[in-house]
Amino acid sequence: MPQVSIKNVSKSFPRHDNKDVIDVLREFNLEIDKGEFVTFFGPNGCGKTTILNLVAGLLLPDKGIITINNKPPTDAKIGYVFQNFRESLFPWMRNIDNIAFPLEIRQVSKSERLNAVRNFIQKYDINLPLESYPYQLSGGQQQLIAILRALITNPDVLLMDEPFNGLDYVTKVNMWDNLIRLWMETKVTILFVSHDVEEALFLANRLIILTERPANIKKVLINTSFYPRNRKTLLEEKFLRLRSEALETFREELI
Amino acid sequence: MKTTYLIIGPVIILVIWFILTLFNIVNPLVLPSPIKVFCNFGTLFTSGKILSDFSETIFRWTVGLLFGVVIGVPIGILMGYSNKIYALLEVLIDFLRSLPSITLYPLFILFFGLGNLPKILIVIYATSLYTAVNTIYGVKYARESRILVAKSLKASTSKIFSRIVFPGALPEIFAGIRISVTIGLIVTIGSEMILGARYGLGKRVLDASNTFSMSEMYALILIIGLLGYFANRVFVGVENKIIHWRGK
Repeated sequence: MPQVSIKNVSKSFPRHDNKDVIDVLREFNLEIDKGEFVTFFGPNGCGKTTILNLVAGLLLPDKGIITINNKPPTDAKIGYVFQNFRESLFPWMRNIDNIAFPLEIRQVSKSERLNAVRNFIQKYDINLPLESYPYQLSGGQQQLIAILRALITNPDVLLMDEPFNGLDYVTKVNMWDNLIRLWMETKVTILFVSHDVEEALFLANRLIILTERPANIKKVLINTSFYPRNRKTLLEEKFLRLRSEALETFREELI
Repeated sequence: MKTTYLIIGPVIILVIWFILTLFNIVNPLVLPSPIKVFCNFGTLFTSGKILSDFSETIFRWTVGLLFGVVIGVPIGILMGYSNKIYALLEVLIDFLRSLPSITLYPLFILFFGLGNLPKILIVIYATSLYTAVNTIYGVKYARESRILVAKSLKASTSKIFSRIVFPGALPEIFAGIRISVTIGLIVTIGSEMILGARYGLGKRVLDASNTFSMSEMYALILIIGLLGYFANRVFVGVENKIIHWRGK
């Protein structure tokens, strides 16, 4: 039984002038198993973020049903990492309080949640200054805080919306390693949106290429390379072949 | 380096002032020499003559400001949070903040007499208005992405407010209070001049001017200016401590 099930889901938004609607999703279907790392790749504005927001329960579908572990998304534990880490972290809280915030929502006592964060950081061997504030950290470290915040509750699903945009290449590649390591150790199911085909393929066991709006599945590519992947993976013939196939599909869609 | 520049500006003004009076370029009745003014500045304090004025002005100003903030912030929060309340009060608030507070002095006399009450009330009125307006924008334009984070974690509305929206609005709220510190002093001095008072720096300036005690008047202007300047400096210091994360 799949962990995340999206069945015949349609979603539209009113246009700015309110006279018409934009169909973002029409009869969209997708099933994701527990522990999968699924990435979405598609044209800008095709509805990738809408899919994540629906799975997060932040939006309700107009039609169709979404379930996580057979329950509606509003009953599921969700971790969500947004694109703009500067605007999604809370600059008035110390780093440790940022990571502990989901536990605060769950009314875990202060000492318990700070302990939970310290144990978590130690368990996954992460080196971060906990007592300082987000603005004192580099972009990569800030986004790592956002990822840890999303993972601290041991969520059913981790949603990531272009989280590594705006990071320089070296930092980004390091973040891929960090993320894969965390995913392998926590075994969390990840839905990851990216507009960078290399990133989408490097991370995923399943890459879903979407069509223009209303988004549908254009093609699914399975990356069978073993985890953890490394720099060499990016140069393997298998990887390069999948990459050009993905780009070819993407180009067809744009024409 | 920076301190040198900070000092140069005022020193140039002083030198020009000194030259103007030394060679009688300006009538000394209109502009007395800086030396006379500074002597007067000293005597005002050493004689204790000004202490009651000083304390009365500070009392009206700070009490008014305090209540202004206590009233302005919640109003701003309500208006920033609820579009309905905002729509209901938008025209009124925009009208009142476009209306110079001095226009209302006669009304305040009419309703509250001539004592301390109308003077403090008008400070409360002006400062609560400016604090509220800034608070509205701070709350209204809270970063959507931070609220989404909390919503995706199924945070309650009260939690979203107390942990996300309110702290996020603090820079704007503090900006409003900072403006109110200055506005409060303007309104206090103005009310002392127009409504009259037994003690008060504004009243003292007016008296000095009416009796042609020009060097005392300049000394008083200097005192009021320094009072406003240092209040602002102290406030900015506190602000930078509390919202150390602003703009970062």
